[in-house]
Amino acid sequence: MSDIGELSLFSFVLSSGLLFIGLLFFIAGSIGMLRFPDSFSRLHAVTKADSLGLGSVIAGLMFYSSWWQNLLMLLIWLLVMASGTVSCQLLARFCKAKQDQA
Amino acid sequence: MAITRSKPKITQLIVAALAIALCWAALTENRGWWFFIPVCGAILLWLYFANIQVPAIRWRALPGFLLFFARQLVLGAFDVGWRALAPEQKLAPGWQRYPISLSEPASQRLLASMISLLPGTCSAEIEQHPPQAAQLLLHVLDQQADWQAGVIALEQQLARLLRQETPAGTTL
Amino acid sequence: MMMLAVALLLTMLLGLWRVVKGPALLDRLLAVQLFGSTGVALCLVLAQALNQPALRDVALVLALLAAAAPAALVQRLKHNHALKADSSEEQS
Repeated sequence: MSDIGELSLFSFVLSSGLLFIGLLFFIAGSIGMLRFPDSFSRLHAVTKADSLGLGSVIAGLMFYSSWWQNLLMLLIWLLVMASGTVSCQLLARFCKAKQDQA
Repeated sequence: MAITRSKPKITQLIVAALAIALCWAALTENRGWWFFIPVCGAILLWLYFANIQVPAIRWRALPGFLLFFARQLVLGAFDVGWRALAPEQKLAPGWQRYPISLSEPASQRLLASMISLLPGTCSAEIEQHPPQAAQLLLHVLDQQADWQAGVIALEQQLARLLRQETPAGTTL
Repeated sequence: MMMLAVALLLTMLLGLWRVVKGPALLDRLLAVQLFGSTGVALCLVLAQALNQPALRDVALVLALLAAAAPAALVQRLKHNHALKADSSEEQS
């Protein structure tokens, strides 16, 4: 739709910053996944850091596209957040039950 | 508590129509509105005749709730990100139980899933023991940290937001 | 933009290492979460970088799948677990 040339310098810097922050959250989530000692803590890392990272990336991308595309991206973000929390809960419940059984 | 569901009110239908319109705009790239009107009307009729209630919330509490939730989301992600990147790890993961004071099962489930985005907590199960209050089984990242404060605050915010619940104290 | 997409892909690979290596079952199941969030972000960034609006719809489908997959997986694994327990009881 639009190119970087159409953005003013200020919004370009702002969107780049938001994209970069989002990337940092994704990296933190992945490193947490590698470094945390037990699997439930890893679940924390990947759920929380990644859902905010996605939000930040989407906020950064919103400078480029039209309003209905932004709306679609917001919808996707809400969906990912909701599914992330619910699946986090499901996985934790299932694995806790299995751990207790064993 | 309401077992016999009543018809949705007109304001609820308007809210539902607005939400459907936003979804339509997002999904179809803002085209085909002539087709939207019959679809929206059909969905609204279905909502009306099948007695499906849009969740009743107190609109005045919504901005405060969203602000609170956004703050907690950012704090939670920063917390977990910092723990992942910090050179020495201060983790004391463990399981904790928390008694829920919300009464409706639906809002208990909402609380359980929202807790997963709060700093340092992640819910696993709602344990119902009918005579006592329901208990939430939580996994916390750091047992020394003050994780109760966030959960209690979220519970209060939810009680203020949802119409089916009565806010516990009139404090704040 | 492309740099960002490549970096996202690398973080996804970093996470996948844990999925491959992970000792517990939960570590393996984390792949669902990982693809649900990082994969969606990757699709959205690529949609902008390559100017392909259809990739946004791919992201939407991925998000929907990420919502349904854990429930299906957990049910399936529970079922398998129950079957295994039954058969071991019969044998003993």
